[in-house]
Amino acid sequence: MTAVLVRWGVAAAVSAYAAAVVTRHGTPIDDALPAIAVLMTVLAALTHPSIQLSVPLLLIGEIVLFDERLRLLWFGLVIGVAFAAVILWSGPIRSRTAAVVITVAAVLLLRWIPLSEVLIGRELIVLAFSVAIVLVLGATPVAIAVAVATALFTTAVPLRTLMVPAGVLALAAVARAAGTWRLRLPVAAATVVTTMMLFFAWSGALARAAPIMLRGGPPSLERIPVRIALAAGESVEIDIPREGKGLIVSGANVPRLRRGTPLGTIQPAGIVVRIGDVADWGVLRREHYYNSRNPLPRRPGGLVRGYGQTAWIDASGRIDVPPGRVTVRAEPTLPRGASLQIDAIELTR
Amino acid sequence: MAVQILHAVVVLTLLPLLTLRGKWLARYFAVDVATYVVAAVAWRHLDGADPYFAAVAFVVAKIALFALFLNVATMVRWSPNRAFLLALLVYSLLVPAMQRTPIDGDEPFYLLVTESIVRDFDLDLSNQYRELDRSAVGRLDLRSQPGDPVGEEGEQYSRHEPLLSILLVPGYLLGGLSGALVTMVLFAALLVRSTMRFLEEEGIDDGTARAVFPFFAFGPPVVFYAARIWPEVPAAFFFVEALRGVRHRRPQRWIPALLMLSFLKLRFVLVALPLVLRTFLRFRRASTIAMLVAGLPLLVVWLITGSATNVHSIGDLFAPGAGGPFHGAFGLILDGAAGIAFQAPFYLLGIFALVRWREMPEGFRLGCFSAVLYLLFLVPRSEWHGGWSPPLRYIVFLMPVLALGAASLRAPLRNGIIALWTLGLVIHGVAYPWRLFHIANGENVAGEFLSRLYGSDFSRLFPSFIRLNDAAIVAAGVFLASVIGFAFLKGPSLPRPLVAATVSIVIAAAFVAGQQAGPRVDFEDAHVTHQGGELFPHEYTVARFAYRGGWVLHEGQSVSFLARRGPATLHYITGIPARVQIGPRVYDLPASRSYQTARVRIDSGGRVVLRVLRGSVNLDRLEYD
Repeated sequence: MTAVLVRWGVAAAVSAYAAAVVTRHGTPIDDALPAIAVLMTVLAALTHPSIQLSVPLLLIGEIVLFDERLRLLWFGLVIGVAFAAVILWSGPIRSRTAAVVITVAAVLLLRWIPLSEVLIGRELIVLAFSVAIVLVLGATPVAIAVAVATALFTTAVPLRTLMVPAGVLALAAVARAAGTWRLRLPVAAATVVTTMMLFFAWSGALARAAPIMLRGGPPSLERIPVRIALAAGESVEIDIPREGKGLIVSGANVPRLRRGTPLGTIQPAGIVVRIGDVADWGVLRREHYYNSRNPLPRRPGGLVRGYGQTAWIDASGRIDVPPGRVTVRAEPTLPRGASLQIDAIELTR
Repeated sequence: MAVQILHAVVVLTLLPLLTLRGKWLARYFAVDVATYVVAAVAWRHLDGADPYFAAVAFVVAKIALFALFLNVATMVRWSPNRAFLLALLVYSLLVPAMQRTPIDGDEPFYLLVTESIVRDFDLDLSNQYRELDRSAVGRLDLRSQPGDPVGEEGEQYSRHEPLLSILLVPGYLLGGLSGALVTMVLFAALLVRSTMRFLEEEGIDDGTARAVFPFFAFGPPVVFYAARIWPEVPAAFFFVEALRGVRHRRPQRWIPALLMLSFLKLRFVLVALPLVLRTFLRFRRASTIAMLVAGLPLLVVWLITGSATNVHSIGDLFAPGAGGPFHGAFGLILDGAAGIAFQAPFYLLGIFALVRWREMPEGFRLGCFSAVLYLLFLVPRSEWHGGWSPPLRYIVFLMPVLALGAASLRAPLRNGIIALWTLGLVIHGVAYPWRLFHIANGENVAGEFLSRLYGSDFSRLFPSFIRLNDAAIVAAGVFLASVIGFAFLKGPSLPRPLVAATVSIVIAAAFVAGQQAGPRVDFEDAHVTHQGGELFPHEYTVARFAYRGGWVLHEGQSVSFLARRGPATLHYITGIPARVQIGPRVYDLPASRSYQTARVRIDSGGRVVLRVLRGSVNLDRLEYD
């Protein structure tokens, strides 16, 4: 037993060192590669040794993929497939310890990067709830998926959002009492976990804007920055160039407005910009999400910002406007301090 | 594109239906649907990636997933005939994939002969060369190769034996180039069937055969020749059939098989001879047949070309190689561009099986025995690596035997590193079929890619026996030590938890080393940034590997490279006096008819520019003291 532990310990240390040597791109995800290597080794030790093959694959991605989005997606894919393999090859999950370790590893990857942004106390509570959910649901594949999904979608800011995992735990207890806890659904569970892990590098964006992320994320657009904010009643004239396709617009200080509330107009096209077409620019940040009443923009035009649990998408929306001079006017009825922001002109690719 | 996607989906759906049963089939389809879901989500995020590459990667990964199920499932319908169908289905995907670029190497010449047979009922290619725009080869740049036979009336013949071209006739008549490729696919599927039957007959159990099957059928090198016009796959098929025939004492099988093998390429007479000799020694009554097998191909070739050995001479067999027999022998196993270890790592197990000679099945020993003469003549040759062709060309025929050896070892078959490497090779080769051809300059695709990415010499980290480097010597030492270790140790020497960790640390170490300046700079290499000039000799020069490669620079042109500080020797050739500048120092290079050296000094490490101030010079390499 000691010899096995020593071997795995050496394997983890060597993997972490190799990852530290190779790390070169400087994002928090790249910087976390040594920790990820250790996590994958622990996972391999408790489930199947082949899982450890994910470490060299991560290193190769770090070395050869310079495009950040592609590289982080590759990391997500490798880790996602590793988790799927662990869950699908159900033999190893027979052990409760293994199920707990899988869950903890997944939650750490989804919520503890970047480490500097982790709210330790709250995250430990989330982790504890996740473990409890897995154990209550019988350490099955579906239990892992439920626990990990609960952790992912819990913002933990403000503190009262911890009621979400508490509620899921209560439901799990009811499910167990009702006798449905033996449900395994390994393939469905693996699919869910793999999809979540696929975006672990932007887990915050996935948690708070899942429909956008699952549909390919905000599109990468050619854009000319404008960066003008219009207070209530103010207007501005903008020349949309011939290759222009429209405007990328958002609100500021409008998180409490509900769907359909007008924010401004674009003339001469006679377009009314409403909540739903756009949203408050920073509403998908972890700190602001809970208080928002804005729906996600119908045609998102924002950018993915940040990494890991603190990743978010600015909630700009794309409004098609024909080329030429247009006048954008903010609604006079906007609340005090609120504004309509013209972020950029979208260009045809 | 839509047709290709539909084709792939149909193939991927049929594979499990043909083999898996009961709960394993249901489980597979559940996972199958899940992979489509995850792929659909991921696909929308692949903005910066090549969509064709991503699609190929997905399909190959799905085939690997199926192979995994085939290996672990307990409810499976399995037989060599099913293996044939599985291979046929997968190879059908290769027919359009391999036509992304025009056929290359010897392929167009084989097809030209087919066209000549179909259209003119002769083997004279003169009119085919004149009317290339009417040809299905898609290559307007074709010319007869130097040394091709010329008839008394000026007929232009191909140097290649005509049997393969004859075999392509029905397919060509039905579907042109695609029809010819489908013919090759049929041979490849037949090869898979025969090999699986061979394994079965040699006592390999079903489970092991199913583990070997994907590596053999869907892994390199067979998969890269399955839908290409080379004689290698049909040769492998006839070789397996011959071995099976000899093993079962069925002359009606091995005689025609050996005849076809020898007709495909005269070099395979060297494979037929030991088999014939062995049979002759055991069954003297078969001596007439034996002589027939050995002599008939030579006779037919003599009737066609006027020489029993076609364009070759007996002296060719003893042609001196670039580095002696050891280069070829180790190169075929370890070379980064042309060796089994890097291009088809699964078959390393077959090499290691040689160490357990006595434990190996009779079929393996017979196959190795019959290949010995061929290999003895191959390894000293300077073209041991196969020249302008997909990797491992000259030993493709031997793969069924090596697969049998690998299967006989059983235990190491579930090696994840080998599986992942193979997966990567297949994805790369199918997505970019033109990269299967390499100019044999001592680099390989991976080394070139990394060298370009980082501007430093990563290629030197891959063993090269084409241009012998330090890595090759280290690799040869490690290989010999491994073989000795394997011979005396019965179990795996490295604990399983440490395998992937070791690979990780090797990657990290190689990454660090690759970014340092190497002990020598070859100016044609990918890590050298060329500001003007041209490759010497030209990429498509026949037998380019026989030249000292280099980079020709003219006045005002330059190259830059990562250099070490200190004295070095510049190897070059120039017909006119030239003056070059390296860093702040200027050197005069006298003209000469042969390669010369000049002592130079690099004042500081880092990126250094070598500029031609006057004249022109062919720069070969820079070697540090």
